[in-house]
Amino acid sequence: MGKIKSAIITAIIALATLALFLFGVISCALPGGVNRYNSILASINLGAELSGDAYSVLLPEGVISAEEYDFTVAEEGEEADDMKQSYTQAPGGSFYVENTLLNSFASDGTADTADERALAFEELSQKIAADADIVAARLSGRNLTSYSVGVLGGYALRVAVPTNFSYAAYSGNDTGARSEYITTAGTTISHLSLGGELTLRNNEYGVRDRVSAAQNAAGTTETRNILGATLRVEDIFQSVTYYAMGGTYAVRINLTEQGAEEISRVSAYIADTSTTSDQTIRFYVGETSVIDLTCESQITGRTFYIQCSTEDLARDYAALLNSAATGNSLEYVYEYNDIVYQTTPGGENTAMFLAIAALAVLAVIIVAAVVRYRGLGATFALMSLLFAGAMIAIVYLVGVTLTTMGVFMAAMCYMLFAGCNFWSFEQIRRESDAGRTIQAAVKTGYKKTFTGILDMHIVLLVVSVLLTLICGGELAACGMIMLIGTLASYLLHWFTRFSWYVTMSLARDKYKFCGFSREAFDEDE
Amino acid sequence: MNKLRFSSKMHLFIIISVAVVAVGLIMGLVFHFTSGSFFNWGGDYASYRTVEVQYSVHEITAEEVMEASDAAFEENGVSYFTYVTSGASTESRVEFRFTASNDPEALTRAAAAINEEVGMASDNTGFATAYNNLTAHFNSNRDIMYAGIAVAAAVVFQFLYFLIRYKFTMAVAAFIADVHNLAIFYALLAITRTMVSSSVIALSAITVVITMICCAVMFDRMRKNFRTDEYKAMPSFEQSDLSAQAAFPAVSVICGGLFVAILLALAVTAIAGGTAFGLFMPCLCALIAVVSCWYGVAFFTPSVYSRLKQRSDKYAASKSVKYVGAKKAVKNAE
Repeated sequence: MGKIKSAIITAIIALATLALFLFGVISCALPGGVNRYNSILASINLGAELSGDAYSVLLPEGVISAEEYDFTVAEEGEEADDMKQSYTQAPGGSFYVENTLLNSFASDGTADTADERALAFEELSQKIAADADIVAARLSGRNLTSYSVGVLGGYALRVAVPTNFSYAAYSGNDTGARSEYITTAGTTISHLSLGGELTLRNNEYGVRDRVSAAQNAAGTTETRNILGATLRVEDIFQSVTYYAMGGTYAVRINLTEQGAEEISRVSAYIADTSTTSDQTIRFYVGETSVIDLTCESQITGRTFYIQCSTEDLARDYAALLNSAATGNSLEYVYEYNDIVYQTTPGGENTAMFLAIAALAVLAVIIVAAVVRYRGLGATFALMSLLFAGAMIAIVYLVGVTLTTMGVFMAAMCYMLFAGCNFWSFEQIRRESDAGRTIQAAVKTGYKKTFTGILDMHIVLLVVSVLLTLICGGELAACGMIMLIGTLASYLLHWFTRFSWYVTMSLARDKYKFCGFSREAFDEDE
Repeated sequence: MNKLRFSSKMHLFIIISVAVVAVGLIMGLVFHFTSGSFFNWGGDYASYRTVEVQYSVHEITAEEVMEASDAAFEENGVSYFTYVTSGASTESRVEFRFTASNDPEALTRAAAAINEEVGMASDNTGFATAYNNLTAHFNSNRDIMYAGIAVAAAVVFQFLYFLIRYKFTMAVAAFIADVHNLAIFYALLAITRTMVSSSVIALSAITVVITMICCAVMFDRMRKNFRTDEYKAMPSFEQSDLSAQAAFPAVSVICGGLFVAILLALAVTAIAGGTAFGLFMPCLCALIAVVSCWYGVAFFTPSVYSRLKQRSDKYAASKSVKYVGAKKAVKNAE
């Protein structure tokens, strides 16, 4: 390759790589001091162990916290007297339970003895623990990188989900996004802790039931249960799953054979504007309307889709409806006051120092490469920056949530990239030492390492696909990062060879450029 | 090249591995029956007790709350394993987390003492609650199951890939290496009582991945060696030793590189002090995973493979002996 052509290509690659890397990792204030550029790395969503989580304490109807009780009683007056008469302190002392709720557990309808109350508390606690199991299963189906559901003091649920703050939001450089993240986390908690059974409802068609009566009492529009009392939701629905295609998000409803017939019959009636003016099938969980399906025609297949406005909503609805549709309904309706953001137990600067550690690994390997391979090392350094920049950009674009293990996985993929290149370089050095020309040494060296490197990448690629497809949460995110890293490693391995070829054309002494030596043979030998 | 002879040391390596796994199993079982947990499960999985302190930031500072709380816990003989803070601009909260072994009565007394201290200091705006019932966390039960399925699928895939790409004996050796390294990894976790969090579950997959890479390096070297007649003529033990010796530096560089990178992360964690201590346990677990893989692939696997190869060679020889003379002619005619 000619030197001018080589210089131009080298300059273009170097500029593009540096631009990608700098935009990838450097955040800075913009002129004027009002706006700020947040780097791609600072815009990637972080897992709970890096950015903390949002939690809420959910109290079943009829249960209040000791704090609320003490506060009201301390105020004195009619309300305080009423509370003293209506509530009994639960074992442990952290909560008070309404007597009517306790009475519902007593065989004679009144839990007036100590034994009856103890038994009622025990049963209430067991039911709340069973609800915690169901909420945990819903969160597991929501595909979060982490979550926790705890039974607090025996009579309340404590549900925590990751805020998924980006580092910009976490560090306070993007306050607007911060409140959005917390709102999203709160919405997830509120959706997945909805109590009551799943019903399909319409304003005109169907039968009146307990829910419609409650709706009337609240002064809202009356709705009717379109499935009737003889059918159970488990007989209608097979599963509900999350679906996304080209930026459109939806929940996919899979019906049983019986369900398909029933929905076909019902949808035919509702879609007919001459028989009813309400063309909507409303999915209710308990007394809350979750999602609506507008019927413009009869539904004939065993699968149909309901579009959602955002990915988070689609995932929430899919997890909730799948749980409720398969008969896993919460026994109680839960209420909460606020969504609380709490810092990560691993320390507030975990994310920053993890990034520093990853950059330190990158720097150490680059320095080692430059020391050992000189000009070739500099070419490798450029490719390393390209690898880092590409990884950051792709992880951001794909929307993978970054966790500690995700960063570890990315660092491992970088080390795979570096290891494969160093293996080839060393092989080429050996060939060069044996007296081959640099072109012949490169050709033979890459040929000799080809199968080994291909084997490693194939194995890793398949493992990453298995992790992504089979696992959920943090492991699936790790699998996705490994998939991106493995592909980037293999493609950039060959791009390094091309870059080496381009940059080496500029050098007068090609052996010196690579830090290699060539055994000199006397012409007489 | 080094002069390490792995083939003749199989019994030694098996004894070492069995001893490590046995000690891990015994320690795990002892802790299982005494404190109810085989591993030292972290906050992601284990139940814990909590004491929550709420206070007004206008009346009392976070440092004063921490000071009062620490004094109350010390006085009542309880100690928390971690704490998290939360809150808005006016009201803040600190949640102290305690292992299940802490006395609930002592926690209640400590919470009452904090109430008194924080209440006095903050003009009765503070409030401490001890949630003494176990906070049972259900994090990722299903995720652990799926992770297990994924790791098992990866191991089976590696076996099939090596079976197609290399030889049956190599595939079996790689399979044994995976199982061995995972067993050593979990045994070392049980022995060191390193806190097991969801990150560690991901490390199981990484253990398998490192094992796969190192096995691929070693068997690739062996496959290349088989192209020479001199190598083919060697006894199976020597063949294994020669390839293992040649692959040893590469395997050591892979594991050593990871080891150094993790040490670097630990050094950064140490510099960060308490503000990034969440990185310490995953790094420690990663170090254990890398050491398990290095020992498993560099020492244990070549020694086991040499026996497999020896048996395989014997079997091949006995099979070829079956068809000699007239029998061979008949076989060829078939």
